[in-house]
Amino acid sequence: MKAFFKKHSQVPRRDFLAYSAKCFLGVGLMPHLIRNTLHGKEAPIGRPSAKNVIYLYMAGGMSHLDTFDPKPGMEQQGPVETIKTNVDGMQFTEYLPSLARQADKLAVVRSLSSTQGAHQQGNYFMHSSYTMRGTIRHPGLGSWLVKMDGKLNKNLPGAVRIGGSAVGGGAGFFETRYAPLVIGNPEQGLQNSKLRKGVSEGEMQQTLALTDAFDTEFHKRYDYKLVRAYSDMYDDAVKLMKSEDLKAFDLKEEKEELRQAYGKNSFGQGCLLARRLVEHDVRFVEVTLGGWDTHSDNFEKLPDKTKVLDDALATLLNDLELRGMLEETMVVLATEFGRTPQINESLGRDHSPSAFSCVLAGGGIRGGQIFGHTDQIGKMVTENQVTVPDFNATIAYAVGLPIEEEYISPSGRPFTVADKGKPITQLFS
Amino acid sequence: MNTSSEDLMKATVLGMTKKIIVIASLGSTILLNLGFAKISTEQASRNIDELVEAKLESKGVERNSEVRDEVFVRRIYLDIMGRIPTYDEALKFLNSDDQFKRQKLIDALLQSEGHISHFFHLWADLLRLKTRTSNGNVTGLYAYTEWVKQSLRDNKPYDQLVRELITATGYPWENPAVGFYLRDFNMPLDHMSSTVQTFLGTRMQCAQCHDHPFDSWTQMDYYKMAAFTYNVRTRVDIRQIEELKKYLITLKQKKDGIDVRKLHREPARRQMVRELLQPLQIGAIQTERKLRLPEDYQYNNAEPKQIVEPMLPFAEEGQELTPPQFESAEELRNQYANWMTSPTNPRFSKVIVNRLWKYVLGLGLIEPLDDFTDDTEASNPELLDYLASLMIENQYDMREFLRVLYNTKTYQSASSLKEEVEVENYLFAGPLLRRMSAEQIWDSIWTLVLEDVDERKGGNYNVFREKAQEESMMARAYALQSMETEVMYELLESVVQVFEKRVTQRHNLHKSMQSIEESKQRDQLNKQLRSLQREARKEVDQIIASAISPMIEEEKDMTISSMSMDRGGVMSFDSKQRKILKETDPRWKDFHISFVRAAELQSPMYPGHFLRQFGQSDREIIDNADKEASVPQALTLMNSQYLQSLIRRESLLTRNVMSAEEPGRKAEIMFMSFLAREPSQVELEAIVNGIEGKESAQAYRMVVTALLNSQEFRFIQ
Amino acid sequence: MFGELQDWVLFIGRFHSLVVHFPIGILLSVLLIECFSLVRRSTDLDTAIVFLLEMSGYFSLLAVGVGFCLAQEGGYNEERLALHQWMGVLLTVAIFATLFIKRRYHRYKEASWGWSYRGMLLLSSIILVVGAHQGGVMAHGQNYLTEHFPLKFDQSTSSQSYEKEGLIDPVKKNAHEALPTISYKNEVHPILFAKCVDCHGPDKSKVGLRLDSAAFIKKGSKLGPVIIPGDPFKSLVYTLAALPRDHEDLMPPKGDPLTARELNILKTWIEQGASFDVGDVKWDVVSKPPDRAPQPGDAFKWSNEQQAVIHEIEEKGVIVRLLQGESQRIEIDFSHAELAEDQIALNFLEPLKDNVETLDFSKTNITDKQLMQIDGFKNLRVLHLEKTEVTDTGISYLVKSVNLEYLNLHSTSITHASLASIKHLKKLKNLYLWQTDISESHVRELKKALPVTKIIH
Repeated sequence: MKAFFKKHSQVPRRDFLAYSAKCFLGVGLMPHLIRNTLHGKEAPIGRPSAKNVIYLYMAGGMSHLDTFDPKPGMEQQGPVETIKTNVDGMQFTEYLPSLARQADKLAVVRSLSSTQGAHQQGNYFMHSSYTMRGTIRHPGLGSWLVKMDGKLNKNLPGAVRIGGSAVGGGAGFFETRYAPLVIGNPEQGLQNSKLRKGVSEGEMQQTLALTDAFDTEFHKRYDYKLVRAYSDMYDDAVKLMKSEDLKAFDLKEEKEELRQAYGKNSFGQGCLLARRLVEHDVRFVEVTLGGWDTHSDNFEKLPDKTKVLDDALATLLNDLELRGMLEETMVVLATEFGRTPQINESLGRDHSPSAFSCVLAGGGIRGGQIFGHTDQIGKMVTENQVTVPDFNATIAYAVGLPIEEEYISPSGRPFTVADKGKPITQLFS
Repeated sequence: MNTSSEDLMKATVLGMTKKIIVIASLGSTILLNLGFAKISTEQASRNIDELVEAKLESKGVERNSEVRDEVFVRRIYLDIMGRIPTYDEALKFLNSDDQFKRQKLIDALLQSEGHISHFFHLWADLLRLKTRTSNGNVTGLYAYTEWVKQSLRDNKPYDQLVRELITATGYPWENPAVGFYLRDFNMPLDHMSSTVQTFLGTRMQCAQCHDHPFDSWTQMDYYKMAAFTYNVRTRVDIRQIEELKKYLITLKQKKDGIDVRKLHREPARRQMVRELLQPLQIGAIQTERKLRLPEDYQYNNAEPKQIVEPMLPFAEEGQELTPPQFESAEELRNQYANWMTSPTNPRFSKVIVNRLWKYVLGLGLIEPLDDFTDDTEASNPELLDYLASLMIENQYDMREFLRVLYNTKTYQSASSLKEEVEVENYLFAGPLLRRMSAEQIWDSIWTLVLEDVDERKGGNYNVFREKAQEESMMARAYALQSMETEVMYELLESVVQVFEKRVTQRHNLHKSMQSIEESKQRDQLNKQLRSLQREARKEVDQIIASAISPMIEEEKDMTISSMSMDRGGVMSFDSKQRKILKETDPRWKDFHISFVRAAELQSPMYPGHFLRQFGQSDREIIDNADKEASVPQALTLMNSQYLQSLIRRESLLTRNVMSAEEPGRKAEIMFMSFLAREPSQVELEAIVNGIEGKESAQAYRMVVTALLNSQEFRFIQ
Repeated sequence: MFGELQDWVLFIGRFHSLVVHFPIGILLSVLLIECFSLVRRSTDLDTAIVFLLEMSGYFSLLAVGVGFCLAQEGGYNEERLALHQWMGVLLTVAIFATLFIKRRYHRYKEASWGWSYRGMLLLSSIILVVGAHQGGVMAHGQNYLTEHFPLKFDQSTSSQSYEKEGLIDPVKKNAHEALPTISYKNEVHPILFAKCVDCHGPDKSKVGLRLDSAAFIKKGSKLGPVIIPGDPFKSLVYTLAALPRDHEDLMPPKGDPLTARELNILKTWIEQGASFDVGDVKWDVVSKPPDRAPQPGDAFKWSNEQQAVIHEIEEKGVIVRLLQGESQRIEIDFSHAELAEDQIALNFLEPLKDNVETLDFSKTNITDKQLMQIDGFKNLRVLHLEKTEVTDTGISYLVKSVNLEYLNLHSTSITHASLASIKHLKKLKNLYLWQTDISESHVRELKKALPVTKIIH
């Protein structure tokens, strides 16, 4: 708890700041000042320890037993061996050799527990901190961050999602412009951001002018949010096409060895792209690695999966550190739930939301620590249970979001980032 | 204040009386029709219009003016065919002076193949159709999507369609409808909640883990419901497969002392057996398996892990809720299906008519479509009831139902100028303005490029691959089932031997890797490891293929031209790929094979593809498509290669435009092709100024790009 | 045989509000007549005046008596009550005094008496007004008078003072403590949201009622309006919630019923006219975070000079970011601005030099000479110089930046020569020398000088 009070004591009068921002400061500075909390209560926000977030999502439910929470000697562990890491008392499975050598950067949270046992619902819950409801779509962490704290790089989107199709994690009830920009294939980067051959900038301008001429009638006639959204969309698109920052999307600027080290697969290259984007101050980049849903042949499928993860994450952490970015970039490894200790008849593991592991690194996190514990077979949490909202609150806390501030959805209901979860302040140094 | 409220009172009273009259008349018409021919399309459309009018008048609102032909032709093509009308189609309609031309067009379009290519997407989104599951080891899903298309083509009655899905049993090649279960492979509980949400518009998901916080569902209800279909298994217990039993018996005889029960400890043999019997392990198999409560069941009305007996969540109208009586699990499932699809099921009919109503007019009478609760109220209850009764009366003939809706005045009125967020406030003075769906935009672009776009079949590479894979699976299954035990034993053993040594090699490699620090070295080893796996697979594939292919030749009914024997399918498929993926038809030979209507492509398209950019559903969640604007969309419409296809010499559009001489005419053709109308004077001037001093190719490119990026193109008025 | 005396007292007490109006009316009429006769210079109404004065005297005496009975009921704000009572007594005295003088004047017709009489009359009228106002406030609440006053003054602080004053018990319906206006946004909405919206909201709207936003509440349910402004006991929202806990119609049917305090807020809010005040508007705006009023005692401001600088550099695409509030620590990030060398002038940041905690020059065209003024930035903690043309000369200017905790020099052309100056940065936590020509041995050497520093090389 010490850490908590340390931070708490530094709490500035956010509410007042919001005011002074409006009165005295430039637009660019303003969003960061809006830190007011509900009814004067002060959120535990000190100096944000992280600036940007790289969020690696293991879709399908990563088996905690076979990765970060091994149970050596137990039959439930199956054929997988356990190896030492460079942190005393911290053990991973043999599937994560490279990460084992960088464990001193990681805070492994072994005591997560979710209420959602199905993929969609679990995925949605993990991304939005709210359970899936028919009547509303909740924003993901990235959209919250851009919404509350604003973009840093005006030309680039505030949030980017590489690959995957997170059920949650969209703009939810926020405006579409807060939705993460989706990049299908990191190799291709941002598709169609350059003019086609033979098309001059002048021609494009004249063409768009022509479009406007065709649209005037239409705009006069229809008063639809969606219609207006489309005109804004074109302004942003044109701004982006002109900006220098487009390079951020171009992996060819990187050395071949480095690209190899990340792993020549869409996840590895995705992580590399994530680093480039964060370098250009994109606030929140999510990269998805799918196929963890090992209901069958768990031990035949995992080696390849974990290899991809191990290479990419280890290289990413190293790369960030060398560039001095790890200080201000929080790297998150998350998944919707863990998998059962019992090995089923098809030699797979089934869904187990009751206990699973996620990992945090950088952005003020104190590396080399384990938080929480599971029982001897990894079925239940025995110590320091962390709920999904708590986990997300921790991320929000790191980037300095006011976790108690309410926003009102169009349906008139108040929502908070991370649904009033309590940040795990012990994780920070 | 007072006066206005009085007016309101008057209006309501008026509306009430009006309603009563209408309902009475409806009653009589329905009575009249009983026994006689079912109610005529015109009559039904009229009844609907009256019910809508009643509502409008009760609020003192006017219906929007009747829509102009230009707008109508574009709208009806987009709604029924899922694409804009071609230049010729638009002209043909506009120039016809037949007074019944709208009615006739609707009939014609509803009969066309193009309609199926559009209607399909409603079902793809609803049933979350995927040509391949995320973990890829389930085959038969492509066949399933094709089965759905065929059902729509045959205009299979809705209730029958649903019944066939729920009762589907067997292997995918025997009955593709089992894809309904395979889609949620190994997730019977999730599958149940999806089913209920899909067909009864009722959400039970949260009751999977705890009692529903707001609705009346308890976790017990959930499990009782799930118990109906839990006995269906998607992964066939390998020990239950006859072929394996035969194999094991012979194995015992040949190799005495081998403990069959410990076989799973032999990775090589286990894996190869799985490998070979793969196609026989996946299907919707009827078992007697019982559902148990979860270990952490928290309520005191039952013990954790206790067996759950099936029980329906709510009874049919006017009936008592009684536990089902059944002899076999099969029969149980049938009862479940019958209850689900019964006309007296309070939600079954309402859900589908509400869905189709939204499909046609842009907003449901109940929103959201699939979250009915006891308190849900339709914005126009009489109308909803009538629609449901109509659906039942027409024996769930969906095409007829759509025909009725498209023929209503309500549909054929101008679209509303303001968007309505509050369902209860919208009275349907006309349809809503809608952005085209991702599929509509895609299909419309190819309508401009290709002639007879609806006739072009095929799809992208993955589709062909899936197809080939499924055929090969099918082939192997047939072969195995008709194979001599002896032969099969030999085959398996030879395979196992090959694999055993590979596996040991692989294992050693794996071991040795942990010790190595140098990442370069480890990558080396990994490369070796992979190549080992590949070789092993190849070798095995060859053995299997050589054993199976002769037998397949005997199978007359099977076309295995493009077929490969290996599980991966891909490798030997690639060799034939060039032949298959080459367009032979002269009409389209200039355009890539994957430039086809969205319904022909894999479902869903991969993230980042045009369709996904424009909000195609990821087909993970029911109805997950969206129509929000995003920067990549703009970039695509301004800079993508697809533009190139539009302005190519070979494109339909270009050819039409080139057929005209003077610029004004050219502009007219372009506007007619994109927007099904002539350009206004203002627009013509804009063009003239815009393209001043440009050489013709550039001018053409500019106007096309401008039209493609215009709001009017993107939206359905 | 008389029943409880206490009850009689309370019973009589309730007549205060009736009786009290007589003296008021009468005295005012006297005033009126006097003014009248003053203009008309006639005295023919004098007898009437005397009579009226006498009457008002007796009535105010009665009113005071009854008032004391009413006071027994309690539940009033003490000071205000006392004040009111004294005013009452004083008034009675004053009236009789006036009467006495009037009689004298009537008899002797001396101008002096006349004037003193008029003065006395005026005085009593003043006492009357003040006293009556006190009473009015107690009967109708603080802002009763000003409520519809067109030029609104800020009531946002009312909620707090409301908490302080503490609330009257809901059963004492007539006994009115003077209450400040309830804010729908701050007090009512939270209650409705917590207790009602699950069933009367976007997810479920039983009997067609939604209580999640002003519009819907006004709209009411299928059964009609649920709020009658000014009359809680006709407003279903209140009455159903205020039912006894064992009553079957009690709202909410499931979960905790409303607490006495919540009931009161609801009731008082309705009594005060159930206004969805300005605060409400925000609630329909999705994105906009609620504006905050300045808190008393919040002192700091950016000087015009500072604002000017911030505005100007932001214009150039420099990112200025507040890291911490009261201390006004900021980060200034040049890395995206694409500025020419001469545009990156530190002296330009002079007005902000004590605020700057982080400077990011990475990938910019900064050169050694810009770093000359760096020592001016006493609070500099983080400095990014990676991927720049900075050389050892530039680094030598850093010696005075002793508060530096983070220094990033990767991919620069600096050599071991720089380490000499870096040695002095004792607070350094992270130092980044990746992709520089500095050799392992030199780094090891530096490690000795800076044992705690994490050096990435």
